[in-house]
Amino acid sequence: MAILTIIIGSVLGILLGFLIPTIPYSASKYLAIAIVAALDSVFGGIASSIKKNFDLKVFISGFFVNAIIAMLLTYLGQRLNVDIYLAAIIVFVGRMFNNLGIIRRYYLDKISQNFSKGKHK
Amino acid sequence: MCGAVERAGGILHQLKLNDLSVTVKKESNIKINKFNGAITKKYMKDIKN
Amino acid sequence: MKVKADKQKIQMTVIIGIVTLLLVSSMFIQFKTVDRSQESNLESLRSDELTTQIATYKSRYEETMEQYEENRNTILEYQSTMKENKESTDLLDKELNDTETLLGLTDVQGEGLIITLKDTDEATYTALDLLTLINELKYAGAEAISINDNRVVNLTEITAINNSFIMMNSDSRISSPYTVKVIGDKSYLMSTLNLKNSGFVDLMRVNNLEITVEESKNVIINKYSKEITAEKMKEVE
Repeated sequence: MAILTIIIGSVLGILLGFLIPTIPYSASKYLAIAIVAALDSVFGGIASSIKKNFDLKVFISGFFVNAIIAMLLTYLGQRLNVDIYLAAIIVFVGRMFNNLGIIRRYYLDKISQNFSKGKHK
Repeated sequence: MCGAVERAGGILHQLKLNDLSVTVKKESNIKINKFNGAITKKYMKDIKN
Repeated sequence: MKVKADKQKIQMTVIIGIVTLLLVSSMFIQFKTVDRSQESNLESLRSDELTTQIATYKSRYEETMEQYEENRNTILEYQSTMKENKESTDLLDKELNDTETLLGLTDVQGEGLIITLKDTDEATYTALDLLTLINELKYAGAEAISINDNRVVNLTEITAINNSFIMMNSDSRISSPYTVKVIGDKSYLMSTLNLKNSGFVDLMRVNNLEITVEESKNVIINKYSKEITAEKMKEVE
């Protein structure tokens, strides 16, 4: 069920992405960092749902708040002439790798369990 | 030019009448040197139109 | 319990759908933006691209500056050559003007004398008299001479035709009264002409010829209006 919504959402998203006119180049920096933050939230959500820790409120708030905070930090860095966004990227991508690792381990476990189950049968 | 100098009543005849010795020779290549003095323009001024 | 779980499930699905939508559409917008901005827009470049761009622009600037300096120098050269040319042209023009004046090819004015010679019943002026006068004026430093407005130049001749009239400058006929205009040092001219016994005035008066000499601060003498040719003579190197 969830996977279906994901697929439908992606397709609609692609269409929407092409239809909406491009934003000015100077704003692309902020959109990029927001996307990274959002991706990190999504994978965090998937990982927590695998660990049966999923909290919807945490997920949604994290999704939007992280994106907004990331954009604000980038803007601050612009004004201070310090590349603050670099730190944000390191943190988000680092967490992404962690969460992806958790997901990978879970599914590998599941697959090997099914395998051994099948063998025993 | 010779004609003008040699005509009757002309200068040659007048000079000869006075027993002055004159010789006139035709030459195909005469060299006359330039004027070595200065030609001055102290008193006359051009009239600008 | 089941209804609550269902409700939650629906909620979840919807939320997941919205989140995916937002995420994917933002990503594709960003993709489009980045694609567009590949058209080397300085404002959107990252720092390493900027450094290469700066290096390119720097070398292009230096080349252009070199060209500019070269062109500037060439222009300066041309300008100074033009100036020199103008100066030498001006110099040549001035020389030409001066030469024409000295030859008698220009109208001139200056201090000098106006001499009037009149034939009387008793005595008439001959061509030789006029020639003597001209010779004496030249001796006294005359710069320009004219007789009855015929300019006397280097090779001007004054001849008597059949003792009836006088010709000068090939085809100009002149007759009494003869107005001789001279430009030069007027006091020196005056004193030379008026020398006792040997001066022209005394010479003419002795022969009962009428002559008046007047000093003038501004004598106007017209130019020689015919051509001066050099058909037989050639310059020797």
